Amino acid sequence: MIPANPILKADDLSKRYEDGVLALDHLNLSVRAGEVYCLLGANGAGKTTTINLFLNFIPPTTGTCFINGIDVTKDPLEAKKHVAFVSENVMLYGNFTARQNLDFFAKLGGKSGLTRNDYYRVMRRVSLQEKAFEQRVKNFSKGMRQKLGISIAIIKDAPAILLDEPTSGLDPKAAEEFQEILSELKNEGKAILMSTHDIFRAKDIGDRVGIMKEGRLVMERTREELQTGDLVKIYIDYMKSEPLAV
Amino acid sequence: MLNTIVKKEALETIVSYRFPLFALICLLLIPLGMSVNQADYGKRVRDYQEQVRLADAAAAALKIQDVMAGTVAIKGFRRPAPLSVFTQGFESTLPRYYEFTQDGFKPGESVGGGESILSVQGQVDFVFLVQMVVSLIALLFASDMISGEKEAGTLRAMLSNRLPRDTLLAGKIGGGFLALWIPFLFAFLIGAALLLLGAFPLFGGDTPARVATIFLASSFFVLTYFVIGIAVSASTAKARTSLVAILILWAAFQLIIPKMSDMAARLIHPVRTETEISLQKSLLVRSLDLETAKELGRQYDLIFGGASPGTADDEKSPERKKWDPIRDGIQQRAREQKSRQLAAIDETYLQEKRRQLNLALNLSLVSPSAAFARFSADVCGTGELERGKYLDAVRSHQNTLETELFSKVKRTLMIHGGGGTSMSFTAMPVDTSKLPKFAITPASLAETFKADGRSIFSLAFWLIVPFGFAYFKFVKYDVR
Amino acid sequence: MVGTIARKEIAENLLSYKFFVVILLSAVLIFTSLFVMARDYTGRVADYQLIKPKPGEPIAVLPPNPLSVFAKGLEDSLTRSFEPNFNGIEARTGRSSANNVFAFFPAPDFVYIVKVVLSLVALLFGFDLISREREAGTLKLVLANPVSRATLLFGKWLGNMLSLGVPFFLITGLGLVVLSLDPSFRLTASGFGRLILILAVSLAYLALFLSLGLFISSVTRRSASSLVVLLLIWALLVFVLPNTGTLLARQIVELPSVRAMQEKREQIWTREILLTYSDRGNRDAHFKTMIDEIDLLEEDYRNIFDRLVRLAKSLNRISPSAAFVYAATEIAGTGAGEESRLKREVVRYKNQVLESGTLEGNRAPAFMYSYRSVGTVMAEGGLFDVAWLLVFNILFFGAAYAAVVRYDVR
Repeated sequence: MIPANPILKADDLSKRYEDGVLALDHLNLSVRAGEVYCLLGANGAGKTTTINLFLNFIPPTTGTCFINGIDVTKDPLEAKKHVAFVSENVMLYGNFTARQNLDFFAKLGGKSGLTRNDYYRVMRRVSLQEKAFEQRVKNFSKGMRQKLGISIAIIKDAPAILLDEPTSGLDPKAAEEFQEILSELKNEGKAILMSTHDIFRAKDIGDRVGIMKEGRLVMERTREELQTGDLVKIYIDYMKSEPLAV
Repeated sequence: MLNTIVKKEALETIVSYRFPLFALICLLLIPLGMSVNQADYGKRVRDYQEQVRLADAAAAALKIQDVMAGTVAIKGFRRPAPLSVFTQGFESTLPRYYEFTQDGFKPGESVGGGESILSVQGQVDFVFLVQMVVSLIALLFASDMISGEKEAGTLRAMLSNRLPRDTLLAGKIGGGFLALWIPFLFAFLIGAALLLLGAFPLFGGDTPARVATIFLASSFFVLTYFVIGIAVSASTAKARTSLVAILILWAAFQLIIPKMSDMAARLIHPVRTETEISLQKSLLVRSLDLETAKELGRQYDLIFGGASPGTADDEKSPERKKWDPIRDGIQQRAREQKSRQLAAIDETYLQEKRRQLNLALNLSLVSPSAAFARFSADVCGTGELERGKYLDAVRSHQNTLETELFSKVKRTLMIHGGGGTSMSFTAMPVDTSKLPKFAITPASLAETFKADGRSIFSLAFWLIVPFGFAYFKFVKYDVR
Repeated sequence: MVGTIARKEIAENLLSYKFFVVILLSAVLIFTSLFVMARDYTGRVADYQLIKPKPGEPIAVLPPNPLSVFAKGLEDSLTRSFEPNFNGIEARTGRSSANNVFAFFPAPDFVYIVKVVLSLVALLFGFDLISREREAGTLKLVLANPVSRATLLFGKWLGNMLSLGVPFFLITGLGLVVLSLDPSFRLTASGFGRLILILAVSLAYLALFLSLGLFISSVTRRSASSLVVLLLIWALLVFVLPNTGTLLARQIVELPSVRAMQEKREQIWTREILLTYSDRGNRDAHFKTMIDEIDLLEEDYRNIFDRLVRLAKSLNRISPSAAFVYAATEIAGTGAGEESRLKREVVRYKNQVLESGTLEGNRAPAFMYSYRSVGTVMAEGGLFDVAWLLVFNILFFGAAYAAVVRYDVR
């Protein structure tokens, strides 16, 4: 079921900021189509930095990111055609309706010629209330905005999806719905990289889970391996111990 | 408790990145504006003195025949106002002098007239800087004092202590304003020191009182804008929204209301142009003169018609004895009628203009900036008050010259029944060196305060109302 | 892609209350200004009909310029009447300045509104274009797509330029249509062309403020702080810098005072008059020398004055607002260049009048003056100002580009 070619691939990726902080230390990681990879870790462990590097928001100090085999640093625009992004706590364009927001981002993602019904279908899929479709996003709750954020990722229909702490601040029901959408996307064959604080959800949803500490991937487990071990205990242990290589 | 807040606000203002910018603008521009205007003033005074000297020399050699022929004009000069170093006001648009002739007075060229090229971009003086630049900065500093703290969450933190909201507000206004006022004070003092270095008569007559008044007025004006900014900040939840609101308010006060009031007044009370009026007057004069000349000719023909030639020149002839009082009577009546009718035209025109002006002024006082500009110009002797005084002085001088000089010259024009005309001149001797000098009585400070009651009221209104509004809003402010 | 972003910017503007408040404000201001300035113009035309010199009268006076409705400039100075006599030229002020209710607040012409109010509006459009998107998190979402930062920047610039420029042209056009209903206000084809040119220059001026806003919004993290910084810059550019050049130039170039001028004039006068008495045979020659020397004196003064004006202009151009006012007034024919040319023409006219012997009773030739053509205006400095505005545009947009490329989107 798992093809050999990774869609998302970080190759010896390091990032040292101008202030000297080493945010990412020789990271190697790959996500294949139809796979969900969860990055766990404390604040400042390097999860968001990894995602920022995949999106070329910041240049890497060493190493390379590949999306669908395209070097992100060399050809960022081409690479970005193959990736969708859901960020933490996005406000979107408050004066636009949900549909207008979706329309704009769909066009940016290279999807033109979509009809109103296409947008509605996607929004129904993330179970956004019908009456919200043509309402201004300004008055949306966090959960509604996050759903819209996911529909933006869905409508782009890219092989890779990056999610930056997508469930932070969501209520349990919304988080549950979110998880369902994610597994649907996974079944469609998307390669999904998600950073999160939520250990339980990571365990449920992730085909693989990586724990990051001080810029390094200190542990990586597959779903099968996790069935036997207690992820919470492993996580706490790693947080306490001295960093060590996997 | 109040002390703590005042100190914190002052410190926060001083350490913010905007403060050095503000201090620089103040300390650089205000003294610069003052000293440059002083140099300008010095030049105007030198020109004034020279022109007065020339005019006096001409007046000393004045002969009544010159006045009659209109080859020499009598001029009355206005002395440049020393305090124009603080605000130019009408200084450069008022005529340097008025010319007095038998037919009335007319304005000479204005100071700015020859050099208007240089004023295409407007002027920079103390009052302008306070009105436009310092007020904007005060608003900007005030804009996020409440909404900004709300966004940062520090407002909640502060109010979780035993701190009444009114104390917090008072501390914010006091501390924030103090931090702005001190550089402003220094800038003013440096400017004043530069003036003194340039030998400006800062300590003469009521000048110190006037300068103090200007400084106080500008301090209050800046405070007004600061409080308005706080009031806006207390009525908005986001710092960005309050900034946009403040900006629109500022543009309205500074740019829109003063202009719109001028425009509105012109539309509501349109006034004929001065050229039209002077044309109307000269038409009247011509037609009256024509009538008088015809009347004189008719009477002359009646009296001398049958008499032998030469009787008209013989002062002892009976015809001549009859003619002289008749002629004088007609001329006297004609003169009275003429001056009455001319005065009526002038009076109506003046009323029209005054009505328009008053309306414009009253409308403009909706804006504290207009009130401030008007008040400071009046205090400096470059405002509306001075313009009125100048014109009053010109009018009264014209009347004086009328009795002292122009009436001494008689010109008799006659149109006879057959259509022939004849003209004769008589002139009484006049000692031109004894003619009264033209002088403007300046408005005293007390008079200025009285005349500017409305401006002061507007300034006070804009200080108190936003204060109350800010208090009202802040007590009910949603700190979440 | 640029189109998508530009369309989104326009839609976003159209949906915000800020846009409507600001456009409404500008519309009210422009309409009132055009209306009032047009009334002022028709009033001056009526005045001109009254004071217009009759054939043979030695008076030089220009009819009011219809474009002064848009750019008043030195119109008051240009439409003064000049009466040549032996002592030189006597200029009389029109009714203008004495009638202003508020000399503190300059003439509210179109150019002033563009210079002060619409530049502020352009800043309001531009101040948060980048920083707000970062605050809302949409910047990351946008850049997660195959959109280069240059495309994003240009799309934003284009969208906002259109949302600014289209209402601007519509409002002005509507104002013009209303104005043209008034039969006493007539623009010739060339006048209309000049007006279009003024509008184009205005647009270039507004564009540079938009780019400035874009630039500042992409070097600051918070939109509130970008607005504060922008306002300080705006106050400097619009109010302070356009004057400091004049102030400085005045300190550098010393204009001879009226006193010095008068003394020299008197010296010449006395010398030549005495000579006419001692040397009666050459009376006319002495008169001629006197007139020539006084002319030379005036010429010297004018040369110094022109130098002062040139220096002041060059220094003032530090601010694009100054360059804009110079360009717009020169195109309208109410600028300093036109004024100094008129003065020279008046001097020539004076000599013509003196030669024709008008003062001895002959009929004076009529004063003929035609405004410089747009081509000449451009060649004599107008093009420089326009180019200077474009330089500012490129500079600010380039700075914005450099800043956006480096912008930390996190």
